[in-house]
Amino acid sequence: MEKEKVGKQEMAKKSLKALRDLETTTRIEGVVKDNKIKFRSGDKTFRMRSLTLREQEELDNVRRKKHFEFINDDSYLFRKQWIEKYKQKGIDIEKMETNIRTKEDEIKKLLLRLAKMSNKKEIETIKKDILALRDEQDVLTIQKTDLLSYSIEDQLIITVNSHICYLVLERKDNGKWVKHFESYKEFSDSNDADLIGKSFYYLSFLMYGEM
Amino acid sequence: MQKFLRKLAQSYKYQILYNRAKDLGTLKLFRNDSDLSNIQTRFLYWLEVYSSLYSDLASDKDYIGEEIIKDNLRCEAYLLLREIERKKSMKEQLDTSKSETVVASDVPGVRFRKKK
Repeated sequence: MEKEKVGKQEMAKKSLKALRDLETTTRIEGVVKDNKIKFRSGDKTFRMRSLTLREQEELDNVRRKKHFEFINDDSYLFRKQWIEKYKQKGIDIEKMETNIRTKEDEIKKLLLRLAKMSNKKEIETIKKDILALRDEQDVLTIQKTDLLSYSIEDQLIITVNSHICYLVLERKDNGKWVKHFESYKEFSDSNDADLIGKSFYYLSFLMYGEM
Repeated sequence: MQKFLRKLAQSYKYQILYNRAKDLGTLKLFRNDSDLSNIQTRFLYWLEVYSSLYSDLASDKDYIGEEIIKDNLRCEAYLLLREIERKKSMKEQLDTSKSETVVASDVPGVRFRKKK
């Protein structure tokens, strides 16, 4: 009886995962079909679109002014400077980067072995080894990203991406698309976590380079 | 996101659409004709990758099979191997073309090279 219960629970879990995967695939398919990404937040429909030329110029101004502000503020440091500061405290980011590259070389060697394998057991073993190395790589990458998150380069990316979200986020209002936030101040003062979260999420689908 | 994008790109539906869109200019994959988004560009990349994999499968190339195409990690392994072998083959071709046979000529100061 207990075994049956566990078996049924496992099947229910797998079935739920398959359903979620199908929903995500369908959602991604919808996002891929157009270069304007629509989504819902609350009871309203929103969309993210690409920047117009005027908006790109506005963004370039914002980026330049913010860069100037950061450079003139002694509390802001470049990545290279942060790396030096951390080294003085005993945290070697360059060593982390070397470790990440070494793991990448090991992964490549394992992938080349995997490509020529045909034995199922050996394949599963080597796949587990590759995934374990990838997990170790991810941990190091996340650690490095966290440590350098206050650098001028990273802060500039955050500022620019926030400004892009403000510029391209539109709301459907009586069949027309209107800019949702009147000003950047309104955007940054917003406490609509769901909307802001989704905006940043879909921004990565829309644009490359900044993300 | 990548996992789902790859799943879409390798699907029968999108492989057919992609190959027909390449052949017929009138069939569109996207609503927009230009200004592709990041995800659209990545999707096109994976469509091309899987198209080439199915092509390799149809040509009965070594180390490729249906089960490999459906397994993301094994697929990656095959792509890496294929890339390395391609570079090796290109380097060998380049080295071969550099070796030339010199034909002696009566005219001083002129060297005639035999074209392969």
